[in-house]
Amino acid sequence: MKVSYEWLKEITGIKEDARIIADTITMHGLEVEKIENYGIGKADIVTVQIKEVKRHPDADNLLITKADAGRFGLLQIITNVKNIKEGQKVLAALDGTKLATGLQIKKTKLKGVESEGMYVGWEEIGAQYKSEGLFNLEKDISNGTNYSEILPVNDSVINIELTANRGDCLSMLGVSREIRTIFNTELKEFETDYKTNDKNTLDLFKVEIKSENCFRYCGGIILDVEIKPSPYWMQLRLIKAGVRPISNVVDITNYVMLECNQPLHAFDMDKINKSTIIVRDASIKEKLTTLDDIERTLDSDDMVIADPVIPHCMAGVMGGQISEVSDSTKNVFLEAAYFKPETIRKTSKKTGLRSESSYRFERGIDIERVDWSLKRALFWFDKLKVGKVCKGIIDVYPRKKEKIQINTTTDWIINKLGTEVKDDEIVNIIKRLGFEVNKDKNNLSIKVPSWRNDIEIKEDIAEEVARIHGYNNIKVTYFPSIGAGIRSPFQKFEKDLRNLLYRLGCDEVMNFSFYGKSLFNKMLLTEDHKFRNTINLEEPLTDEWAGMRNSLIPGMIKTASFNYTHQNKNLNIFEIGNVSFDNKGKFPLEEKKLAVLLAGNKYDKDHTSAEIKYDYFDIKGITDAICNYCKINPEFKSSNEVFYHPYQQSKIFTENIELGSFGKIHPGVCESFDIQVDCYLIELSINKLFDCYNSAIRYSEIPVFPSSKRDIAIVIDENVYSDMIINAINESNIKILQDIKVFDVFKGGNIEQGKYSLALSLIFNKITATLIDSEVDDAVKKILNNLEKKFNAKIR
Amino acid sequence: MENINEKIIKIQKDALNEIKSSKDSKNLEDIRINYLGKKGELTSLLKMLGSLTKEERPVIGGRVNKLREEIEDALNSALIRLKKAETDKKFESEKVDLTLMGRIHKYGHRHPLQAIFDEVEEIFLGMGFSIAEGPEIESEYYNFEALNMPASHPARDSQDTLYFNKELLLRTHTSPVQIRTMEKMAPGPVRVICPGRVFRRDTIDATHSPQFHQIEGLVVDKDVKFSDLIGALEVFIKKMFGEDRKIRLRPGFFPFTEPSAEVDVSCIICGGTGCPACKHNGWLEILGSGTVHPNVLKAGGYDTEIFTGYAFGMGVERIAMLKYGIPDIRLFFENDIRFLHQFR
Repeated sequence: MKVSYEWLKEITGIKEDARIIADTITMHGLEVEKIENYGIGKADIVTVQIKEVKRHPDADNLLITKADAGRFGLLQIITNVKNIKEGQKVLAALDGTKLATGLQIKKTKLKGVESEGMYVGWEEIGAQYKSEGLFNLEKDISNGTNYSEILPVNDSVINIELTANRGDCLSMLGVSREIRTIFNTELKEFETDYKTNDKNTLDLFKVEIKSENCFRYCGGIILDVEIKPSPYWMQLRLIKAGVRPISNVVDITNYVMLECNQPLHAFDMDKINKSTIIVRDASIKEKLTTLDDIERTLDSDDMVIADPVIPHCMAGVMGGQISEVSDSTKNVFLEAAYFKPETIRKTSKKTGLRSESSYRFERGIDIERVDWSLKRALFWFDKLKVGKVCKGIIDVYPRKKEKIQINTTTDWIINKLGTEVKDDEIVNIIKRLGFEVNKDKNNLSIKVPSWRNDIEIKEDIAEEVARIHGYNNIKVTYFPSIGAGIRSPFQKFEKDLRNLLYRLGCDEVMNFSFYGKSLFNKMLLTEDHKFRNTINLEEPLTDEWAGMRNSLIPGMIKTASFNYTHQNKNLNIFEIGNVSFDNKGKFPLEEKKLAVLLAGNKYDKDHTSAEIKYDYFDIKGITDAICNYCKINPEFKSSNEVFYHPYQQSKIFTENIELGSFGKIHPGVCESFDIQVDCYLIELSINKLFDCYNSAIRYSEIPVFPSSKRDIAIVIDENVYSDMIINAINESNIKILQDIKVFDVFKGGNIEQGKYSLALSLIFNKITATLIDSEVDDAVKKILNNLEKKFNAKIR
Repeated sequence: MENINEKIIKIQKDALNEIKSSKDSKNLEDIRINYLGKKGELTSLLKMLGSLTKEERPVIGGRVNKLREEIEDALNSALIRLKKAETDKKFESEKVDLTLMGRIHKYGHRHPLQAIFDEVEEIFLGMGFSIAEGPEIESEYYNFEALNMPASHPARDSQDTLYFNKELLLRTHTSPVQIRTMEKMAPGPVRVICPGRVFRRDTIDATHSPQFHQIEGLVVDKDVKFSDLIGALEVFIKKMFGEDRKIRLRPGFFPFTEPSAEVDVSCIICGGTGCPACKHNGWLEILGSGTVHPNVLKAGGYDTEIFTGYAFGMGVERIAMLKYGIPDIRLFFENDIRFLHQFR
């Protein structure tokens, strides 16, 4: 809502300047976005009368005029305005004036003829409105009168950003009520008395309401109207409010809308068949051409203003072309109504039509003042001599709304706010806001005024008291906790994992929760790949964001690609985030996952080290670290994911639960993403890890006696994996065996084809005593025998 | 006798000279063996004792022993001197360019949004709040209806929502977690914060993103007052942005709170004197808050005559952008490691 300071002053008599008003009302609930300055202040822009108009001898598009500028003398002004006439009174900017458009007026020669000024319109004098043509001022304004004496162009326009609940403040009246409450000013009642002719509206016209969504409909009639521009002071106020002046009839409807928050519609009365207005729901596929020359197809949940033959308006949203007021209009039927906010909102949203009128109806206007606002408009019709106003008004009001009654106590309000506000102040605030209040001891019986559609319960009253009293006058109190704030075990686990990954050197990323086809195709996924099975949005923002991710992997590869193509070739990144899965019609399932991606070099070559590339054992090492941290025993099972290298990928299980997978990203996928280094990836389910992990920590004794190490090297079949050997050794159940480490894997040389050598360090220890050599020898012998039996392992 | 005495003097003179001019420890050892060893000069002197008189023997013997001690001392101090010279030399050879960069030890960097989450969570954990989470895919009911936003509510306008179907949508705020938490806790007290990811139908640009993050807070108990809300927010803001920050409340409108308040903090960049970050008015809008609307408490399963509550919410990206001076919201989700490496 754009509020002219000058207009506000007229209604409330407020003395404070615009800046103070803006700051104050912001703190009391009407947030001021900015103050626009109007006008150009002190300037030699004066009234002149055109005395002579001549063609410029050397320029077809220029006129040489002589204008009487009163005490500024007779001026010669060259202009390109075509329709300027002798005798017309206009505004002219004189030598030395700087216009709002930035133009500096100087005495100058145009094509050899001197010009001493420039004729100006709205834009030049600092009203934010582009218009063709000049002013046509009234004859009784004496020549030489400064522009600021004729029109209050110099003004501050306070732009208020209203919250959705304060539709009542979409008017000067609404804002003035707030000003009255906050600053204790007066509030001038708007005049509604007007002269009428002897014809009665009720004899000339009929209104029927057939829709449940029209709660009240009032109408008035003005005969013999003369369509012309409205007075400049009215145009200026419309301009300040951001409304285009059009003609006297339309301007009055808009002006009263800005004054009273009542949208009005003027019909060319002679275009209404049978002098009857019918408010009804539209029929399905009913057609109506609106003011903007678009044929609209309506539906049964739209409401129309019709006559018995044809529809005229989309109620509350936009008028129709047929009965639009035009230059030839003779008689006007003026509508003021209350339409159900939900209905207007639906139609407006569906059609994409947002008008000043629909905006107000949606937020709910003052149903009790529909007739009053209409009378205010008729007052202006009479006052501005637009036409002859008929006696009486039509007022169909089938569903009278009862005023909302709220009962509460001052104690309740004080307790709710937690601060001391005197009973008198509470009552005073509520009264000043226009509520009716009866106070009996501390009981308050409150009637909500009809314009405050946002007030329904006692909490609303508490807010009214608080905001006028001032939020920052409330003394702070504390409601301390009696318990401790803690993270749940799962939240703690997630945080621990996050910290573990930071310690492992991984940088944290956050990818988008959506993905789509283009990414899957780039990953070279098969048509039936499970990643494609996303929960899809009804109307996604783009195809790229069609559905919800069910894996972090595509996002990680995309981020790797973004970095690679931005010169960040070495990556060690992780993400922890939610993924979701369809649950066959039931509420979708969400799961928290973790992913790590390694790419490029672990170390670049420098003065301390040669270049070291990330390889399979780095991603495996991170996998092992996570498993060790969670104290789970992983099992690695074969996997055949298309986006991994066929021989460098594995699924991770524990106790038959699949935790995730890891491997080298298929070079084909990397190429598709323009990544020219090797990438490795792991993805694990945090929920599943949490189910399997062991949070208990128990100390185990550190041996005091020296341990004994034996190295063995065995030759085994290629398809016998190291973990099979290690598991077999562990299964031998040798109590003194403390640790097993692989220290070499070797193929070729003198080793038979299809076999390889695996070298292991076995570490023995006894908690209670020093080991004897023979104990260790026996243990090694037993181990080797076992391995020979199971895998035909030969000592090398 | 004269002969022996002369020999003693000569050995003394020769030995001390040789020791003095010795250049390394190996040479010193040779000297030691030459004079003090089993076949050394002093041993041969002692062998000559037999040819001396009974009276002369102890005198010469004493002299020879004294000479041995003298040579040993000289050898020892020469050894110390040489060792020091040798280590000095070794140290010198180990001189490095101390300004060369050390071997890289990589550590993981926290995402700036996670840094804000962690900071806010720590403060509220300290104030006795627990952490509650809820699903990102939500129902209409939890996201709107239960929060006092029926289908016709104009406030739904400003939240253009991403829908899966009529009932399912991507939550537009973390507030549905309030309802879910209340349902779980009623009629017991609630004291939680709800961090999480939220979504809006926004085209991505420097200040908008279809996904962003919020942290919501909710306290429900017997007799919670509006002034308690201000107290809690003041504590939080001072811990988060500095003890000398001020807070300011302005009336606001949220369907799920009544009374509602917008909360400003004195500018964290300029301290309130005015700068581009605060649009030169000294205040930054940082939180929305209010006492819980009775309809919301009812939806959560509470008797509104007994229970009241307060709630607040803040945007994580906004705080991160203000705190770190990040100009573009897209940077958070592009994950350029040159960006990520600036945070910890």
